[in-house]
Amino acid sequence: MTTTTTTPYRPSAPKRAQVWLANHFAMLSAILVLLYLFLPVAYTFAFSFNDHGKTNIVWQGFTWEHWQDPCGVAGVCGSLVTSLQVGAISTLVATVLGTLMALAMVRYRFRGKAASNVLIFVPMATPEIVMGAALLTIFVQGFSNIGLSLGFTTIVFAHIMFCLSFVVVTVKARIQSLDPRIEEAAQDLYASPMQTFWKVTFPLILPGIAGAAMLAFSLSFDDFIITNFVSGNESTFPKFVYVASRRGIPAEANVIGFSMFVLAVLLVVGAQLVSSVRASKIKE
Amino acid sequence: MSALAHVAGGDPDFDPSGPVPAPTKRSWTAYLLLLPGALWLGVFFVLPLVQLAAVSLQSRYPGFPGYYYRDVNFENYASALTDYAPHFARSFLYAGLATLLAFVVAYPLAYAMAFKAGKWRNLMMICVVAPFFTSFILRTFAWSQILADEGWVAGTLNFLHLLPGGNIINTPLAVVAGLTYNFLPFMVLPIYASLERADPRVIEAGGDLYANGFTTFRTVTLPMSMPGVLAGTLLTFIPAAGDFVNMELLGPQRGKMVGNVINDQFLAVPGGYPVAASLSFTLMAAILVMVFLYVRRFGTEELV
Amino acid sequence: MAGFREASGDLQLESVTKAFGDFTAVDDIDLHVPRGSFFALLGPSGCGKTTTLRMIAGLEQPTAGRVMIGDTDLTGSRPYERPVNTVFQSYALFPHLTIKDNVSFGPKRRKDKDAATRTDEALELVQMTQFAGRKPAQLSGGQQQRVALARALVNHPEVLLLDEPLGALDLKLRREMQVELKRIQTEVGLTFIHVTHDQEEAMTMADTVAVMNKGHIEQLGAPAALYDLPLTRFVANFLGQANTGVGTIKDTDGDHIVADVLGTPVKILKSRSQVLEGEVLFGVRPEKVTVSRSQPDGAGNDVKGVVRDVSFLGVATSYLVDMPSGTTWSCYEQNLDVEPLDLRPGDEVWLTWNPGHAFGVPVDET
Repeated sequence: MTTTTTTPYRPSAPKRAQVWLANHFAMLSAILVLLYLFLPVAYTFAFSFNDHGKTNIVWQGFTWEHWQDPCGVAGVCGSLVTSLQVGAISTLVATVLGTLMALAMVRYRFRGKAASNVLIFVPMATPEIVMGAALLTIFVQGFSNIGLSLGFTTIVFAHIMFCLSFVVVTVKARIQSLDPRIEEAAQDLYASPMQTFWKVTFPLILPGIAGAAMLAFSLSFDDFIITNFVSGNESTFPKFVYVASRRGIPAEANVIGFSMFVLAVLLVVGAQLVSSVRASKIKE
Repeated sequence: MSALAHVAGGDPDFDPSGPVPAPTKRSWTAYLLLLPGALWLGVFFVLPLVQLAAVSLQSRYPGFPGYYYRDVNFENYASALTDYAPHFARSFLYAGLATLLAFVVAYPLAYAMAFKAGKWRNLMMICVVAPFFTSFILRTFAWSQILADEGWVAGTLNFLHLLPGGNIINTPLAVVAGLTYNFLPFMVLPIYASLERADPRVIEAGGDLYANGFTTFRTVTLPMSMPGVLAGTLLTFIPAAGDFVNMELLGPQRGKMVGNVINDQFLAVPGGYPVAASLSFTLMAAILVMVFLYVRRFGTEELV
Repeated sequence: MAGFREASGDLQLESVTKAFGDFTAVDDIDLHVPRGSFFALLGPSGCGKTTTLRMIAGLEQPTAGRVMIGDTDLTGSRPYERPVNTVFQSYALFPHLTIKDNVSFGPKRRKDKDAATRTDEALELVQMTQFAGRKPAQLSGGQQQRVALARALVNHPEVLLLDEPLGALDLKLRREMQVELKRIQTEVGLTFIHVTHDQEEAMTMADTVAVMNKGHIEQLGAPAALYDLPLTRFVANFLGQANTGVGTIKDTDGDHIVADVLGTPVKILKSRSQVLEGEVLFGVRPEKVTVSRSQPDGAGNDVKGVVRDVSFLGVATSYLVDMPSGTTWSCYEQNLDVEPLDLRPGDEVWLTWNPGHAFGVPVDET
């Protein structure tokens, strides 16, 4: 018996580098893009330690001062509280109304469905500035006659409106992925329509509803353009930052902005961990 | 276009003779479920737009800035189109460039997330979304620091003699950079979603058949992700075309975009409402027409 | 339980029709299923069998006709008001509930005081007690199938509906579950209605099989009867294999008719032919045909053909024989002798059969 040993084919070094690059091109560029995404966040973080004078544009020296008293600048914490309140109320209302709409759109057949689809889609295809302008004209020229003046309430009304479509789309996707036979099985097992919804449908679409609520909150919390039109003298956090940017954003705003970022990331990572622990339990 | 079937909500396995499940319930419940949300959209979206349309047709009292009367006056539109044509052109040009750049930047990231990331997929997803939890204005302001004349980006480019004008900040280039950055996740996430649904084996088969990476990409991968690309480009282009914050914080003093004009006319110019309203409507109409043509060309029946 | 209808007795469908727009899925069928029987609805996909099942469950409402159990008219009542439970094709287990909670779902909705005991009994019956605390995603297909069965059985429904319940299982597991299902049905003594497109499955399990096609019931009877004497061309071809040929009835010979099938005269018992004059589709099952090297004497029903293919299967040998008419017959010979026939492709053979084993059905329809 003879054995033939063959030397494995070994390409030249530049060729190998080329192959390696081709295999890892997507991942390498992805990492570069992620770095690009984080660059401004890093700047925001760094400049929260800037010992700045009047303007916080160029680096002038390190200080803990702004982290020790983030509310030290007039208005910054007030605007944050307003933003959190607006976000909470808009998210709650938009999520409830949007979920109901999504249920109607997926689970029912009715006249005017196509028109409803358009009504839900068009707000997402409308530039914010147009929505803001339209809301401003109606608030000033129409609703002020019934005692509604620009401020907290008008901000909330506007935010619910533009969050609604996004909630519908997100929840709709979740309901569509649900096997309708599971609901039929519940009915077959003596559950009334209400019991079917609360015992089966709702728990199964809950992750979609939670995702929609998170999306709604982040849209509301970060909105500036529409808020700027309908807020009157009320200030939200983005509006505070925008107004301040004319004369230099105080580092306290950087502290708050960065803290919100950390908080959100912790929340998301936490949720991920919980679900992966659950998943591994299922696999055991 | 079977690749779009799942986006359009059509069921390719639908068998008319088999059971027809789901939407067979009585319709009045549907109206009940729909009513509160539809009412909200009616009162706070449709009604304001109607009011805006009415305002766009109003006339000003000559000599009384800030006062106007009800009218059917299309002059506002005429002046919107003639006086502000360059602003429209800039808005669409910058938004178009930003969309193109965002596509180029987003695709490799979405591709890597869908096919190469493995267990890192969720982490990458968080990384894509996370920066957007810092306020949008703060991030844009950070770009004004990054791109500033004293900053390292401008410094490096100047050192390499790659910057003819000598600076980036306060130029259209900075505006496009800002727009690209700000709407990037809206490009990444839909592309990722449609790539994730695609079967990687199909792409491997494409690789087998064509051997050449670029040909595989052009003939197999890209068409499969088309629904995502379509959604992504729209979600990037529409807000970018109406944006004024990037121009305000990063752009030049002169040569603004249409968003800036609308904003100023509404909030800073007395009696600016009619012109601003007609500008808003022209912008919205232009975008809807473009979206319509674009969707017709690259076709999917339902985007949402 | 608001609106729950107690009902007991035989299941009856009276002139039931279901149309979806222009498409008539189920066309005026009548069905009588005696209490406690194992009944199979068999047919190709799209024949209306699942729609029929869904109308019994209440998941669809008939366009016309009545659904009754005993003397109680269930037409128009909702699924949750009927003493009927379903085992779904995809199982449709509640993914967010444990196996135990899945099974106790029905009894709890009915506010059954013995829900816990009955759940335990049902899990015992399908041998799934040890998995009670798991979620459906942690179970294999076969295990999920058992849970789906337990979830329905625990309610002691008057009628249990099974919608292709074994469709997703592999062959071996399928065979095991067929035996298991049959055992459980005998044990609990409920009416089982089993929908399937697998004729072998229907024949092994059911007491009575209804063959459906295009919204109609083609034939109904015991599996052996259907196989032995199909009444339509569709049943002849759908249930098992049949060697067929179109012929013209020329003559009668005592108890038989004589048909001319492309030049060959064949006899069919009058009692086994659905047509007595004109065109007839003659048919005979493969195992009823005898293959021999020489022309046997006297029998009458014999044709000469050429062997195309021989497959040795152990207990039997299967032959494909090209006939003079241009068709190919399939024959199935038990290997009773140690010395096989030793035929090879190309050999000439004579095929014979007992005229009493042939059948005749109308030619119409394709």
